[in-house]
Amino acid sequence: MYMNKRTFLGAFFDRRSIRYPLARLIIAAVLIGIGLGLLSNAVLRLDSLRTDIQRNLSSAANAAGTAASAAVMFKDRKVAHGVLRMFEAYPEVEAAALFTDAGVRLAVYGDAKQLPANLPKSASPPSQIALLADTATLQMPIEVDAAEVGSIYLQARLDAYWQSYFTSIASTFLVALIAGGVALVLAMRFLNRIIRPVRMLEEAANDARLHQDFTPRDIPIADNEIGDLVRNFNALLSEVEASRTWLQLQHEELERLVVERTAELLAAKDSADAANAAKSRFLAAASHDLRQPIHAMRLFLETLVSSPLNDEQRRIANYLTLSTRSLADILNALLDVSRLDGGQVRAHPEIVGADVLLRQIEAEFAPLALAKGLRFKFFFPANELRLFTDAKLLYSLLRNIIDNAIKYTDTGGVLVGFRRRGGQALIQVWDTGIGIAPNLLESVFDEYVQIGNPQRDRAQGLGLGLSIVKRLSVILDCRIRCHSRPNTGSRFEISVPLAVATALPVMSAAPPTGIDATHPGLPEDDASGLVGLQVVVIEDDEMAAEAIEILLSANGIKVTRFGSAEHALADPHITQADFYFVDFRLPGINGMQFLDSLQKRVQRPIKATLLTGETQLENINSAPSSNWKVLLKPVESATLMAEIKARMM
Amino acid sequence: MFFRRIATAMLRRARRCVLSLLPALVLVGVCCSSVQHAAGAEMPDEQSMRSAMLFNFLKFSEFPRSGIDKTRVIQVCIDVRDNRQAEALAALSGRKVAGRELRVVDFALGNGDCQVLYVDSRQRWNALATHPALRGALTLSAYAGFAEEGGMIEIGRQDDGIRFDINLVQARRAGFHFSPQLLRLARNVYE
Repeated sequence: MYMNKRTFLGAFFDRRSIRYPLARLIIAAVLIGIGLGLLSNAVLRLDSLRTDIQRNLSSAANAAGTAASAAVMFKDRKVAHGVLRMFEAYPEVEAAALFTDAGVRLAVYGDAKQLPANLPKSASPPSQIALLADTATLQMPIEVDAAEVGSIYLQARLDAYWQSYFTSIASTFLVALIAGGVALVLAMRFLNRIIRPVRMLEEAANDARLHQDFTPRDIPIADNEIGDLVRNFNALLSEVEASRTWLQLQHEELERLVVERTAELLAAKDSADAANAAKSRFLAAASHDLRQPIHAMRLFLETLVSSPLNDEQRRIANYLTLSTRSLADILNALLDVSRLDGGQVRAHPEIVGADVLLRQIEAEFAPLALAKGLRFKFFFPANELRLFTDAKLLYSLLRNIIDNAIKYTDTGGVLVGFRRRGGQALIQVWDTGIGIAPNLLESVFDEYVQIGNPQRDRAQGLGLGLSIVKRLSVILDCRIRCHSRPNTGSRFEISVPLAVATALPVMSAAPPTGIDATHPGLPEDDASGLVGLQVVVIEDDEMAAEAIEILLSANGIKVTRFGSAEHALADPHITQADFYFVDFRLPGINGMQFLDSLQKRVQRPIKATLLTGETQLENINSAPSSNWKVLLKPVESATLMAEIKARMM
Repeated sequence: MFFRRIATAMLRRARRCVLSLLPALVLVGVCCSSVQHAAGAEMPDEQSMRSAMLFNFLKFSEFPRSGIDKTRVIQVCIDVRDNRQAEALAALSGRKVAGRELRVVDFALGNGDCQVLYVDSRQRWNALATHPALRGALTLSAYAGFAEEGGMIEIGRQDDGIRFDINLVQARRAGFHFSPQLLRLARNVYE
């Protein structure tokens, strides 16, 4: 079956086949053998032929000489002629002559012209017969009783001898050629017996490689080296097949394990996702539910503090305000960590002027530092420094660091510097506070790690500020480092990318950040311009609504309250209000949908602000109409009043 | 001393004489040799031819073993009156046939021990034909009718050549055998 792919002769003329050199070798050996055999045969036969000619002629001459010895001796020409006629039986003898001992020609046979007239007495040695010589001559003495009595001379034609010679050579050549051909065919057949299993092995190996078929092959073998090769090849195939089977089993087992593990992981991920979703839902619910009372509590306290109180009552009210603010801060920090860990916050880089950030920082923290008797200074380059970052997140990061700096510094001051360092802006916050021990430098960014607050004074926070900083630095992809010496001070450094494109619009002021909803630093301006203003408050939480109404009413603002958006929309005078404070999460349609519906009823732009305790701001931002201003609960009264004033005046 | 001088003078004279005669001596020698050579080149005479034929006959003849085992010599007895023939035959003495030396003797001196007998006439053959000494001898003669009269080889002439007849009966009776070549040359063979 293998040989059918290659013709027998084609295999021998295939230069790549091992048959080709072997066939050439065999043919060359056969031809050389034939040549050498023929040559040696020709030489030996030539020698033998010469001997035969010599012997035949000598024999004939000897016989004639003996027969004619008496005639020569007695010089009887007639008898001598008669004796010479015996050469008629020797067709090769064309001429012969008998000579007396005196060299006189006594009798002639054949053509006398070819014979010498007389001979010297001494016999000449027999001439050497050359190859293809036409004739050969022979002169022999005739002796009687050991005495030379005459000579006989012969001349013979050698045509018949040469014809016989060449016929013999030709027949020998033919026989040798036939024998060589037979030997060649036999050698080729023998060679084929060797090559065929090798060829089958080669094709089997190729077949095994291409088709991955490693079953042992049925190749006829003999008990020789080729047989050993085939047996070893089949053994190798068996071993490869066994290995492949084992590997296949291992692979299947591995795949099964991968599938199992993947299923387990998917199940675990689903479980984790479900848990995370449950946690997010819980946090969202808790956030809303926690912010509502705090929001209301702070509004009540603000209103209480604004009312006439005696000194003791005012002192208690102030303590209550501080406690409430701490509570709000802690809650905001916890929710911030939760949001950052949940991956819900993403950076949206833009070009931000450093002066904007500085003004915000100064506005927020200069009063605090001043209140603690600390110096609060800035350092910035003369040239404008433009950053490429998310302004809200960076400001939140800086707020936490500066807040900590002021918190842990009792004497000295705090310095905030902006430097240009290569392609980066290096923001440094120096303080002369209590510092951080070297062994704690790595852990200050962990949750609930506080330096210098062994009593866990909640007024100093939960120790989440720097952990938020760490998370924000990851989101902003900026490097943050801390250098500190205990009782000397600390230096926090944040590397922020500089803006390279100047064509982009520069943000003039940081928008309200979702991370920080507390703006305690806004000055409470005079609200007299707001007297008589009509404000609609839609809030399902009765206490929060009551707190806002009391606050606004205390400032001379007319408040109309609704428990749901549907009730508000049902009111025919709902479109006549000057401003709307609307809670986002309402029973039925939410606050944003309410405002969208309301906007459709009136031609003028509605002035409104959404209030919400949601931590998942994307619920709001992803809505079609997300252009409504949002304040996160709890909102301080000053912020609330500043919002109305900013929008109405 | 005196005789010595005389001898020396004589030798000098002799040398001068020889030297002066040397060309003449050489000329005479050459002439003599030419004469001798010319004599040798002449056709042999009949006696010599008969003598040569006898010798040749012996070459082709096989002697009875009893006749020659006694001696290593073949004694050829002759009884001829022709001196030249006798001399020609006598010239065969010393020559060898089949390793045996020929000795030619006169029959009268042969002491009755002859392996070959040559007679030159019928008269002498008739006288010797029954001689006991010739029993077992090869007999030859040149007279006509010898073979018919009980001789073995008769040498004769015919057409300017010498021919011979063989009485094979007599020869076999005496124990002789002749080679076929010889028998082929014979003019007549009597059997």
